[in-house]
Amino acid sequence: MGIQIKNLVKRFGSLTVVNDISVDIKDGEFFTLLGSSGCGKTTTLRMIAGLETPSEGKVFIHGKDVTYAEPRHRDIAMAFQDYGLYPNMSVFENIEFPLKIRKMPEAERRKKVEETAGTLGIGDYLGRKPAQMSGGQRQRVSLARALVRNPKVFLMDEPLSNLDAKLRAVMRTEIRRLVTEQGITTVYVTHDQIEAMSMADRIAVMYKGDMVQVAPPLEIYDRPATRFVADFIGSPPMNLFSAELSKGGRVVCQIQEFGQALDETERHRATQMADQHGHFSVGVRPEHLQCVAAGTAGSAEAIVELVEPLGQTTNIYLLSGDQRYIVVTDRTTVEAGDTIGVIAPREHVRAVARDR
Amino acid sequence: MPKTQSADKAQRAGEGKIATLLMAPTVIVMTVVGLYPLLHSLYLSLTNYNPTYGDAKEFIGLANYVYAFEDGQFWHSILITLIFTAASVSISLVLAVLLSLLFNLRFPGFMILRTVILIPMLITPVAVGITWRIMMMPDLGVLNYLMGLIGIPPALWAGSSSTALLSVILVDVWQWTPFMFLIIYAGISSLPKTPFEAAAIDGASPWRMFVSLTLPMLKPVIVIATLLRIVDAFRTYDTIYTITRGGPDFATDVVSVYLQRVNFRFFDLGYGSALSWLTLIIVLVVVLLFVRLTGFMKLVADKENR
Amino acid sequence: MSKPKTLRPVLQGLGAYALAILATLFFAFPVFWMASSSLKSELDISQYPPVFTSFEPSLVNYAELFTQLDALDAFINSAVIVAMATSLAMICGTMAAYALARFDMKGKEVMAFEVLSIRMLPPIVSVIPMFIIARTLGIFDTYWLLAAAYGLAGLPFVVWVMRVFIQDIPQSIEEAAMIDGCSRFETFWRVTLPLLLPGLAATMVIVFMFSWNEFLLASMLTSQEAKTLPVIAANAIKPKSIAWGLASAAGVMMSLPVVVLVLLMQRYLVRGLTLGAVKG
Repeated sequence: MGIQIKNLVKRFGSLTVVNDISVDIKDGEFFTLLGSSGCGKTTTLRMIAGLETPSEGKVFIHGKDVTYAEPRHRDIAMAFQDYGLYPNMSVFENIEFPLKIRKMPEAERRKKVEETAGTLGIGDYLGRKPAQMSGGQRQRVSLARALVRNPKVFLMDEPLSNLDAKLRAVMRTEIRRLVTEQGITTVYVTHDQIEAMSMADRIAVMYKGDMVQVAPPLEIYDRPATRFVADFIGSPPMNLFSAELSKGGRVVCQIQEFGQALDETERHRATQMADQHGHFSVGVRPEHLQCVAAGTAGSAEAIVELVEPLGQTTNIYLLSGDQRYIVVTDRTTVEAGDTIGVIAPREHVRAVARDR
Repeated sequence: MPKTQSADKAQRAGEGKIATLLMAPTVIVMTVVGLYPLLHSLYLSLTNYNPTYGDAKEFIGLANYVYAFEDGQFWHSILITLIFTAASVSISLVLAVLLSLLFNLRFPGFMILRTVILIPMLITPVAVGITWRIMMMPDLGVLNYLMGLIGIPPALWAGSSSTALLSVILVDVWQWTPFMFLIIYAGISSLPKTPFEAAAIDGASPWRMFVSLTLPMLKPVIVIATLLRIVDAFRTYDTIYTITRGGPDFATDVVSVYLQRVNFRFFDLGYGSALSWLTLIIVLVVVLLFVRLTGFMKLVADKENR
Repeated sequence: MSKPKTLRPVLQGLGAYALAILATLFFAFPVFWMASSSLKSELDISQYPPVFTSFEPSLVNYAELFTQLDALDAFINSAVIVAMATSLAMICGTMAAYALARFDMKGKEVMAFEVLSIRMLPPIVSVIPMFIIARTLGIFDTYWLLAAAYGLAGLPFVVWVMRVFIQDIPQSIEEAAMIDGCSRFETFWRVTLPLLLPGLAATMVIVFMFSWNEFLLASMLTSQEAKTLPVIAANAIKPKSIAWGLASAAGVMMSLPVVVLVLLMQRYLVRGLTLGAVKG
């Protein structure tokens, strides 16, 4: 059953923030909304939560139309970016609050709170006030408050963005483990591609109010639908080269050698995604490009502008004609100023649509 | 920006009515008790209503306003009010800034002294008037006695038309400097420290720091405190009424006192209403001028958009 | 060379203390004089040179307040009127402030303007129509008239300040409560209100202070029955004979509640007095 969103639109005055999106989120799925700020991902989440009323469209949770239902009638839990903890209540009271509202007997409440707090490793802090805790601990309290009800649906609005990098990595795996164990349908909003890639069953990339691509993480990585997706996911991002389909079906690319490396499938995709002028992009991930000796057959000639050794890998910044791009390799003897050849292996060259 | 907009004010199903419902009592009270009397007074100002001659009133158009423009007593009281406001507000502003700088040294014990200094603004203005009137008695008053101790000749204070205005300004400064001090001190103590440390490293003198850092950073606070004080000083009535009733020789005849006389001594309510409206317009002009000169609206908008 | 270096800060510190104490004396002395005058007998008060501490404190003036000036009635009048006005302003104002802070509403700017302009209105402008209306309605010299007038005067202030205090509470806390199962009203009652209490208290104290101290409207819109404390205090000053001790006692009695209440609420006072613009 899960969550269904049908033709959801949200306008603030003349501004359309969410532009006609539809998606089916499966029961127990970990679904991530990914995009930069202002793309409509948080608004979409808030419409699922009932904190915002859609201008058009419908929201179904477990098959029930909840488009205009109050949040409390949706049986959902939510974690906020700033945690949304009640500052005047102790940690115990915070976690207990949703149970109290639901009039659960006190003994049972105490048991559930202690159990959940234990799972999240905050069992020793139940007497404290939120202000006396660190950011990571506060986020655990907010997770505990959400999970204590055994919700069927869990909505999370950038819950890790106020934490430092190390803690974020820990919390990522922990959140994923908790919701998978309990089989909770989760919608997770983030602007961090690493969070999305590492946690999600499926990612929806949002751009200017549109869902531009909905797919499992690796598919998004391997076959980004648009330039925005290609550029947003991966670090350093996918190299993109403008290309054009001529009338005869020939591909003209900014770096012709890469354009010619498109295989049949990609060529076919290109004919489908190219705009009315035949424009599209050719994309190759930096780690898939290979550096060879200048003049090697099928290679594009490039000047090395900068070599950035990172230890594990090395970033090589290249210039071919007036096009700059990046190759990620192992350690290398190439130096700035060298002229080298670059080969794009056939199986890794993708056709990518331009953005609307 | 849509994100902040949505986070701050969500639109939820069926909640538009709640907002209207919550606003309703305030709107009703403001209309019935606020707006209606105001419009009624505008209407009265166009009549010759005076209850001592019975309840009949004639519509006389703008005659009251024309008369007001030739009423020297009215313009005299406006002038007195302007002098009173300007002097009192600027003196208490300077004093408040100096006090804030001094108390910002935060030596031990300053907290208690600061609290004591706040008390005058809390004293009922009528009581303030009574107390100062006792202290300023020319023959038995403690002020002349204290001045005699350090060799200053006794003064007539509110009893002489040459010193009366100064005396009531002194009282107003005494009562309301604490108010400005409270606000400006709060402003000074919340200033960030780093700019001052940077300036100290750059070798700036204390005076330089005050002029180039403290004052500009305090501007919003100073502007707000001053605006609130101007509005209040303009309608000062209680203390002046208790100390001098506008005298001697109309030396302290501020506009509230004059209006009180027109309305409730002579019961010339039509004319009194016209004068009230003129006063209201003058206050508005003064406030708008101040707002324009200081960029007040921009300061407020900046605060809202933080 | 080391001597002036160590001496200078000490001298500066002493200077600062001297200035601070001088300033405090200036602001505290009249308060002391009012308090001590209220405890002096008719004889002590007209001594010259004035007596500062060497007098026999007596409560005669306070007793006379009740026998001569009907201070008890005035005190009750003041208390009832101020309580009515404060509740009116606080309840209506907080509701409106909540709507302004949390809902997307049409015509909000108009509302904000109306609120501010009533705050700027000199009371002298509305006193005549109120006087006339009160006479027509037959509520002249009753609690209702002054309570309505003070309520109105406090209302815009409450709306403005409470809006700021409400905005200080992150929306996400309320949203968390709604997700946790609260209705709008439960959310306000169980989550927002407890967090709002300090702000509410500070605002209430300020509204209380304005109404309690008000004299102009009180003197013109009452004659016998609904006289408040400031009015009877002012009545102690007769053009010819002035009962100084009595007047001072009235002053102390009026001022004491405000001083105590406000000093208790100091922490949120600045925020309230500056209409929320300056944090204390």
